[in-house]
Amino acid sequence: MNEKITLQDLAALLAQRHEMNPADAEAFVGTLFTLIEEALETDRYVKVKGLGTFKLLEVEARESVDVNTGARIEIQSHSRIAFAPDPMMREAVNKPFSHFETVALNPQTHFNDMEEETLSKEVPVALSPEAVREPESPAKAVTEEPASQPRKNRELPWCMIASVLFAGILLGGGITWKIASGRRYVTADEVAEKKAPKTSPENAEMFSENNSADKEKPTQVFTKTSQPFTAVYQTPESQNKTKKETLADTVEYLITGTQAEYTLKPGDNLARIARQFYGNKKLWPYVARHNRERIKNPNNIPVGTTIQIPRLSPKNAPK
Amino acid sequence: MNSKELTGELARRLGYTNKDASRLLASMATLMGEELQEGKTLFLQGFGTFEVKKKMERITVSPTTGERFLVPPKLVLTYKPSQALKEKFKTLSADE
Repeated sequence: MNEKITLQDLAALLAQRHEMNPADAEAFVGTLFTLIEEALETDRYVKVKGLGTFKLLEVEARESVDVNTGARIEIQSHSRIAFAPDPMMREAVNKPFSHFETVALNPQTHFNDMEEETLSKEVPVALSPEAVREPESPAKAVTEEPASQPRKNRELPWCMIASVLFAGILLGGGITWKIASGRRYVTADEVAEKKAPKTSPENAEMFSENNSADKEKPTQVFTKTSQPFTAVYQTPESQNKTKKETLADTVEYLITGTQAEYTLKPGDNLARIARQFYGNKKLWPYVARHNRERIKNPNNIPVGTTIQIPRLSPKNAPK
Repeated sequence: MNSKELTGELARRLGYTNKDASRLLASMATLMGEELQEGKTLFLQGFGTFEVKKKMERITVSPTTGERFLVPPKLVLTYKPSQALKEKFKTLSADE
């Protein structure tokens, strides 16, 4: 708003636009305004297309008071220059506000002064969701004194934010609960998996009463140790071994009968059994579900319990 | 003096054709408009100042129907004549 453009700047811009001699441009601009001045003098009226109309208006003599002395003085009649912008210019200048339109006011709308009116006018529009939710009606807000208005505005969003946050927390909690409860076995399995290599003694105790000392081995050895077990329990497993394939845990399966029986030994857990039979330890909840009456606590199954290994087939495309 | 006479006089004084003069005048006007739209103030030495001012929204009452209207805020172009010009026309009027 503070940037100033002078005659010279205008002339330079004009020269730039028309690729004309700057001196000529300056002469043109200078002549234009002197000509307007002269024309005003002679015709008292100049119309410049695209800019506006300059007019000399007669001001009648009137009485006034000297500001310094307080004495009554008479201001003599004189002329003053009036300027009315061209409609095109007027619209171009008003472009940022051109979308506004004059609106008829509701007769019920009460206001003491301009400020209050505009404020109350905007408040219900801007805060309409809150206004609807709040017992406070917009009409009531309008009649309220203007001083309380801004405070109200600041409070409303806080209520809004708080309620939104609360709803978000509830929603998030619900979702996580849903996920967590859905994956309860898996997470427990993961925990067990994590614990297994590190603190095998306790872990083994958790899964089987009788703890064998040879379980204290890192993960790589883990698979090796499981190998002899599978060898020992070849009999129930032999037919599975032939068609053993890795089942993905991204698909839901249906339990379609029992494919084998398995007696738990020290150091076994459901995840390992699942890996043994399905090639995917994450499928152990199916085993647990199939043996619900035998397994009371999936994290602690007595050694020697004979469980049934379910046969799984994908839910979407049953074989 | 209307726009046509003005361009004619401009062309005569500066030796342009009427067409050129009116073209220059038109682009002069758009130039001023552009600068004013950017919120700049035109200080024209010896002539006056062109400035865009913001008018606040206001309420008008229709005298016939008593209806009240909210008139939106707007930006208007104002012209303030330079002191010299003002004085000149003051005395001019006094002469008449």
